[in-house]
Amino acid sequence: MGLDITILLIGLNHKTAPVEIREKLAFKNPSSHPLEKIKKEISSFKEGLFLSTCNRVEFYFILDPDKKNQFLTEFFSFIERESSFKWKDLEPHLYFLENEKAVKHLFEVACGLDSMVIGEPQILGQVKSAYKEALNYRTSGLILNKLLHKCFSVAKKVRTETGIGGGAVSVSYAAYSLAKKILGSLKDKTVLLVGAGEMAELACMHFVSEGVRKVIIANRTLSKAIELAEKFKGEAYSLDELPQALIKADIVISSTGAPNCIITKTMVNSILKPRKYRPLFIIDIAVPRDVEQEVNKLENVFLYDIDDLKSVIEENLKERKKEALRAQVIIETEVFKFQKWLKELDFYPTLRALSEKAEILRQNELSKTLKKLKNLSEEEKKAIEILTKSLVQKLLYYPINFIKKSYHEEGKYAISLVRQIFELDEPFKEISETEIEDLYLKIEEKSQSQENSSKNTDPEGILIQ
Amino acid sequence: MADFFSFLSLFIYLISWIGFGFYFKSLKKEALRYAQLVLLTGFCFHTLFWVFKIYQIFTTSLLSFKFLLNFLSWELVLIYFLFILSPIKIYTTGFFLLPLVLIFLILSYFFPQEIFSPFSPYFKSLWFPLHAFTGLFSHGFLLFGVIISLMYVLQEREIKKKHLGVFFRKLPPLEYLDRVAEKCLYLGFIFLSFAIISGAIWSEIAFGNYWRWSPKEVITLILWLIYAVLIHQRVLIGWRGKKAAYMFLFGFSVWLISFFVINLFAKGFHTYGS
Repeated sequence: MGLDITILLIGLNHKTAPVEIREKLAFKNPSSHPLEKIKKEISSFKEGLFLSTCNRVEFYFILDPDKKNQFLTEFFSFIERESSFKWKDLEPHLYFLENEKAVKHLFEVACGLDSMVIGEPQILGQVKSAYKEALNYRTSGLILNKLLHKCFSVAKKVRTETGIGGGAVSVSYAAYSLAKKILGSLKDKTVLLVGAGEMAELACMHFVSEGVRKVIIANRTLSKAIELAEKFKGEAYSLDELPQALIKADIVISSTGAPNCIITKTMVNSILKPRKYRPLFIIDIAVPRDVEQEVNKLENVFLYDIDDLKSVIEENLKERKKEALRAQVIIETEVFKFQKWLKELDFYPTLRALSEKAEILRQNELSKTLKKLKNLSEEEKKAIEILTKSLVQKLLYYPINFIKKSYHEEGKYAISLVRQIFELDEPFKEISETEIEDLYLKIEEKSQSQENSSKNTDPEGILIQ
Repeated sequence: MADFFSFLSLFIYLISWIGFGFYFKSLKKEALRYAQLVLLTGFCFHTLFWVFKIYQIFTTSLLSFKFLLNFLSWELVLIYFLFILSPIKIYTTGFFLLPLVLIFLILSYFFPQEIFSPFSPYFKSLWFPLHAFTGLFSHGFLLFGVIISLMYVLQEREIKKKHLGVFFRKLPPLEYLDRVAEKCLYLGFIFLSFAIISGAIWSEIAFGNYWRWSPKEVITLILWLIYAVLIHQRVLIGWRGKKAAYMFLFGFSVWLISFFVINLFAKGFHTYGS
């Protein structure tokens, strides 16, 4: 028996479709989720998942292979109705992946390998909420549940075992991680904003959220500086007082619109001594630049302008691309494992696994007993052997019958249930006698205490009445 | 038996260094934990060795130069563990420190047993061991500071040149390295001062005068002055970072002369040669 389901992925992403198409297919209408509509209008699929982020729109379906063509025509007309696109115009932007390839694609998406910024972590959360939606609309079943759980564990594994998420890839985070490498803990440090622009404010937010002690603002117009200082609960200076402000600061973020340099080498040189040569990290995100390039040559002063930060980011992205290759290896092995699970999720493999497991257990117990009873005749040994065999067969009759009977009604659920109960997907391990004893002892205690409590409450119940 | 412990610890340190190498490469916490655990095991054997050895030295009154190197390597590991307990975390230090420890240990096997210090019962007084231990501990802290300063220079260069490579990712923040180097400076200086004072008192007891201008004394005084200047500048003016790190490295070169050249070749009562 082969597979009797198909995993189908229909989707488009930032590589295949421009934003005009992506935004129309994003189904951002909060009142109705596409899964809800699809569930109402199309009946030829078993399970479905809808993933929509700003870079991708993807549908995952679990289908009967026989019904695939019927489903596709239904789905096309559904999309045409919803998006006002003609199917012919849309089709070149879409990708259709099936089974193994679809699984692999989902894993790559969840690990951030398919993202615009490679290795970004938000996508995993988006996949998680897409799965939650699917659970909500009851379109996720046995296969998708297993697939998504596998997908989350793969993403976690990739994150911990490769450097896919390492290194800063945004300007403000790059500035932050540099500051950490220069100044260590930022808890007792002071940030100076030169220029009260929006850019500086944004960059500063990152430092504030990481708990810097104080924010100082120096601006050409003092009133604006005061306004911003109130927001950050800091101090305000005018640009003329910049040297005084520089003495207090550990991190400087400069982003004025001034046409020439505001912070010069002579200015910084003159404040080194009053600062006692404490390290000073200057981030210049203004264009044209606010800080003279020569400042970087001063002792314990570190100057990074916007281009420097960008080249840092590029380096980190290159590093992440290298790590992505390692992630691919992990993903491929996990796809293989998932395929294996899918193949085994059938009547005969389960039957075989079940009876194999039972046979191992039987042999183990039999050899233990035969070791103890040494003076048995061949006949007696045979009798014991037959006893164990028939015991196992009779016990296994129930699960096997259960799968067989309910196979057509509840599909693979019954199989999955039996596989879980008998731990057929896990490696075999011997159960020790003490484990069994403990288990039964606990159950007995619980049932006794329950009996006692029901006895005790009875008279009280009468009293209350 | 004692020599076996020494050899065993050398072997274990080597394994630990490989572990630190793995940590340096992967930055995985488990690698660090195992490396430190292995290092601790090696350190225990090394300590056992020294328990035997000190007993032997005191009974025979013979101190070979090779054991000074061995003791220094023991000390460096001890100082590493002391700093691990402090709140400033400088995890990758082990990777840089252990080569020095291993070099000292291996070197100590190359020096013949015969290079003795003239250490006769007639010198026996409490001031002598005090002098020896404080002297050796001052060396230990200063050497540790040298390693930290070296890491500082590597890290600072990458940040200044805006080429953020291997060291940027793996080495601790500059500020932390600077603070640890500062601690090493203070502790090393204090021990060195004690060593000079106790040495002078012992000299008075043994020879009748406090200061004899032997080459060892002179170079130790130079070393002491270098560190005194460094501390003075740091406290008053705020010398730190790169300048302090380079001063540390300069002090290290003076130490090299004092420890290897003067101890082995110069004439005078500190020498182990004649």
